[in-house]
Amino acid sequence: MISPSLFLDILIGGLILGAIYSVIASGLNLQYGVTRMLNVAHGDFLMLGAYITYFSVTLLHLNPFASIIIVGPLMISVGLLIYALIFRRVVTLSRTAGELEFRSLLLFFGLSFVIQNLAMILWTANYRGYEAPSLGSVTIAGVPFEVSRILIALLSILINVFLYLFLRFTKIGLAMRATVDQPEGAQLVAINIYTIFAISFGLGILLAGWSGILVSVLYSAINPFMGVPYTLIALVLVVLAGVGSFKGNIVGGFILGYLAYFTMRVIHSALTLVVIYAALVVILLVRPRGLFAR
Amino acid sequence: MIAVFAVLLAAPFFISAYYLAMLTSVLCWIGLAVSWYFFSGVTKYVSLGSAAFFGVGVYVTAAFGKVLPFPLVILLAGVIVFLFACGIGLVTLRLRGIFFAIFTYGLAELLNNIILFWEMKVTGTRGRFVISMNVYYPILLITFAALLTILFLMRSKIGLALRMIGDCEEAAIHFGVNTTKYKILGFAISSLFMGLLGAAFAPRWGYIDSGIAFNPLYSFMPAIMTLFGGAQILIGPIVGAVIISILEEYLLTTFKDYFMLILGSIMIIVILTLPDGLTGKLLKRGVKALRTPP
Repeated sequence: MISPSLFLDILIGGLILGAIYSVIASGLNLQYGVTRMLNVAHGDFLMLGAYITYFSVTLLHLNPFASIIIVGPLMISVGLLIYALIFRRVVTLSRTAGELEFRSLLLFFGLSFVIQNLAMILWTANYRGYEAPSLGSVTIAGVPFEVSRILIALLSILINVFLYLFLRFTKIGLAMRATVDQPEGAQLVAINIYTIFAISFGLGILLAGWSGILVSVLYSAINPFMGVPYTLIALVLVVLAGVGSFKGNIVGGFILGYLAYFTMRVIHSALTLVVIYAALVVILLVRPRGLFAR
Repeated sequence: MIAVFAVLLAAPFFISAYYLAMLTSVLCWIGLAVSWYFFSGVTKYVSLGSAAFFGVGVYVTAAFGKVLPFPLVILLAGVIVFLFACGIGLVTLRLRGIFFAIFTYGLAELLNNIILFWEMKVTGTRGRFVISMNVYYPILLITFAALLTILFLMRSKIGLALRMIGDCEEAAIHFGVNTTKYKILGFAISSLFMGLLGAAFAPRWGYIDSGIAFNPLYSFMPAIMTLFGGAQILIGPIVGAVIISILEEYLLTTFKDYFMLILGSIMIIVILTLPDGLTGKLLKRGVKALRTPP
């Protein structure tokens, strides 16, 4: 039933999708792990990243991959600005961690409505796409693969490697990991966790923007509401991975990527979200704190 | 309360069809907000799945509305939604805080996707017609039934147990409260009324599809209304529902395109400026006024 060429297609297609998923979720996982604020507008920041890519390709005639240098600073500024304007207040206002979680969740929902509808008013609800310069395709065992898709996978892996190195070897990364494990302990050793909160917040949104580049190269259907399914995927992946687990994020990304790609190719693409959600249910039943919970 | 009920009972004889329709939706929102408050407001387990239960109710009416008499349909919807919510509660209420919110958030989306797929693949249709009738009285009755039941339950063992879970779940467990049982029961009762309201509200549309029935707005609005009104006392969600649903009506008729944008902004502003809601603020002021002699 599954021919060798389909098998190869799933093998590599799932790999590409998995790599992208892990980047999409890494931002969310980092942000939530450090600050305990769950960004349900994550997909909408991804959408903003995709629009910035679109405009830098059509107006500035940049290569979509090169737009990483424009998306990066822009998104991190957006993230820091939103943190300073909205979330800093809630962090100081909330008396308990539970209260902070509850309020920030609702704030993010409000933010999600605002971002989506501002985008719709500014750029209309029409689908947009850009023509990425074709890089041709390579044929592996009789199955053609576009070079740009393979580049996306490589770029995703590169982003994850950089993130890993950042978290593992820099002082800020160390402070972030300390804050995930023990917020009080981190404060005791003179880490200003509010600065760390702001940095993680900005970094999470930066990663969302970068994943917007990846997604826009892959599908090239940019629309104000494109982010919603990615928010759902990122949320599922964070649960699957376990909060604050980098390893879980990578492994979980590939599990979900293969699952989604297999469903798209073999069963039916309309059922992708259903299958992902079913996977979430099974995992929560077996391990309520995620597969790689610490 | 009896006087209000009597006035509302007589209302259709005095006001025009437009205001009657508006009154129906305001009542429906009150019912939804109060049901949401009963579980999520009290226990602080934020459910974003109201649309799922409302939508199941809608679909029960769509499926059986032409076969069974209307009161029986609503009863059937109640039974189905109650059992469904018990099942969901059994699976999910072991999850703490944010995981529960994510899970319920995806629930409506999942049902929407399943029904879309079913209609596309199996029946080959999109949407269906519902019996059409005036739903003012059914909605009025259900909303008042919900109010009375919840008012009564808040003073009973269930209400006390739920409130204790909201304050400190560990303490409740230590006091020998069977928290799982009460959480499931509370969740199922809260969902039951949402389902009843969905079943009763369906004939107003005449035609429904899964996008209408599982509109995520039905998940967010009860939460926003309760927070806006204040989650300390039962009046809170009622006040919130009245103000926000009238505002919604006004915004939808005058600035249709900006509705969601304004709603999102209101949500952000409310959480930043009135963290305990409208009644919470008044309550605090009242307590202060009592304490400080003039």
